[in-house]
Amino acid sequence: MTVRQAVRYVDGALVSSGRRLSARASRLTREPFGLHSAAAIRIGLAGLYLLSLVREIGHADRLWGPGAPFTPELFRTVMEQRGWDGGPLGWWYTLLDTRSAPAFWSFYAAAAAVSLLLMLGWHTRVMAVLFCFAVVPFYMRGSMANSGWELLSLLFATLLVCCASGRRWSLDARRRSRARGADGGVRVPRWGEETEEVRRRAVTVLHNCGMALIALQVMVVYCSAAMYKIQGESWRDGTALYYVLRSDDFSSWPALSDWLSGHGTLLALLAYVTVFSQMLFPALVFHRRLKYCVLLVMLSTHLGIGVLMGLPMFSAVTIVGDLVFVPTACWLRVTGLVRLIRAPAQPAETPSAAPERVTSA
Amino acid sequence: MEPGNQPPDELAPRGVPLTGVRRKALRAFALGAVGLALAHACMLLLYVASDFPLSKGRSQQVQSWMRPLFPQDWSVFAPDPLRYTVHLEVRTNPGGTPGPWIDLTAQDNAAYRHQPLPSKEDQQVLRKALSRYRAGRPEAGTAAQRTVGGRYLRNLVLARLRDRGTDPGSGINMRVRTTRIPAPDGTGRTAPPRYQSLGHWRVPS
Repeated sequence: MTVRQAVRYVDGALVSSGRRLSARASRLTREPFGLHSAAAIRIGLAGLYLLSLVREIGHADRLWGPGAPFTPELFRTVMEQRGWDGGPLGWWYTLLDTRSAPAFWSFYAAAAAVSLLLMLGWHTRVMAVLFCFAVVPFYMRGSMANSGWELLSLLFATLLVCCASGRRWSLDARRRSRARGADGGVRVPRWGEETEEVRRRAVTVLHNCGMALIALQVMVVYCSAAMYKIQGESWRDGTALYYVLRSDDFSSWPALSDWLSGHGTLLALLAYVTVFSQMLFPALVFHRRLKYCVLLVMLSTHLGIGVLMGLPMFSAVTIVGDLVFVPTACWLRVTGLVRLIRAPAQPAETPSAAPERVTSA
Repeated sequence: MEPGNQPPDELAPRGVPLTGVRRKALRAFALGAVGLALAHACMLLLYVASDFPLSKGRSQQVQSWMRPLFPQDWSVFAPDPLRYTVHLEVRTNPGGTPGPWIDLTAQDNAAYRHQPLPSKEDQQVLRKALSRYRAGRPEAGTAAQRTVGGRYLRNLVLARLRDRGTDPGSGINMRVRTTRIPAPDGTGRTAPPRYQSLGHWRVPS
């Protein structure tokens, strides 16, 4: 290869990659990516939050309410120490420092209602904003006992505000498809077609940014978890899971944990699988086929954590986060399969009624 | 992705060509949104990689961007899971004579075990309160008890005592029992538990 050929080659590559980049950039504003994944995350996250609120009703006063050992005064002191009580959003962070039980329980009920409506996809965007509004004060108030579940639900709730999570599998979508069935044509809004197009493209680019940030967040979770683990001796010699299983604090089923902790080789193998799958997750998850392998490994890891270590909410919310990587084609295949299975029972077309069952599985 | 097989998304952009100020406005918005997302991505990476030299220099900016809405803490069971179990024990002094030690951690463990969906209060609250108190305690004795972590731990223990119908009286004693988990090869199986006193705590009336 002569120098001239090389220059021409590099030049050509640059021009074509520049063109490809600008084509991709314009797709960012025209094509919303992963609408099914966004809907699945919405349903999963809001459903889990509702579940946790219902589960903790008996403990809520102690965890976030006026009767908490972490009293409203202590809470305020901590927020002051961290410098989060002031600022434009300080009132929001400290919303739950109330001493009034009726105020607390009204907020609790409202949060549960918003979770339910977001899960169902009723006026989804408004509900997504309200959901984020509700999740943050709970996170702040419960800061003494927050763990992975609270952290991830906070992060996803915040990022989901940007996403168009109500386009699929929602009451909104059903209402739209009925309206279309009724009058057929596309209505032009009163602000004109061109402004409407601007609005739609703006929503699209925001959605794509939100989904990208959720994906990045999930990758950061796995990769940094792996980076922390490889610093530890027990993860290198493979005894880490033995100690986790023998720990008092993470054994929902002590007999099962004891039995498992006797299988050293298996546990060492599982420890290595955990570390390597987390470490390589960002690389593997973009591969067409390996993506499914690494997602399945993650799914089984988290099922194990959820059942054995008494952290079901954390496991469930990480699984929900992983759904961001499931491609639309896969969702369509799954929904097609579900429709096929349900076909004898419901012969006529039900375009958007079935899928909610899929995602809860 | 196979857009052809997708049900139509009637809210997607229709590809109407844009002109003039609308085109400019959209371009500005799109650049702003993508720029913000990229900035957040950089901040997130710098925040997680806190030992990275660039993060150290910019730690103030990174912190104020990420906290409190985007906290990150993914060191679950890392770098090493605990090699011992930690129990909090408490003792009341009815009528001036010390009562028996009550193992509050064991009480919590009994409550969360065999539950598919344990309550956070039974599983995390006491453990986290104790480790927070022990971690952030350069002060000795009663000074530590007056810190936020100390007052929180005391309130928590008193609530647990009242739950089980024990009158805390005017003061309680706390201690931490640490038991080594025997190594998988069987060494250290008979190590006795170690006790660390957390001192005497006055109960506010």
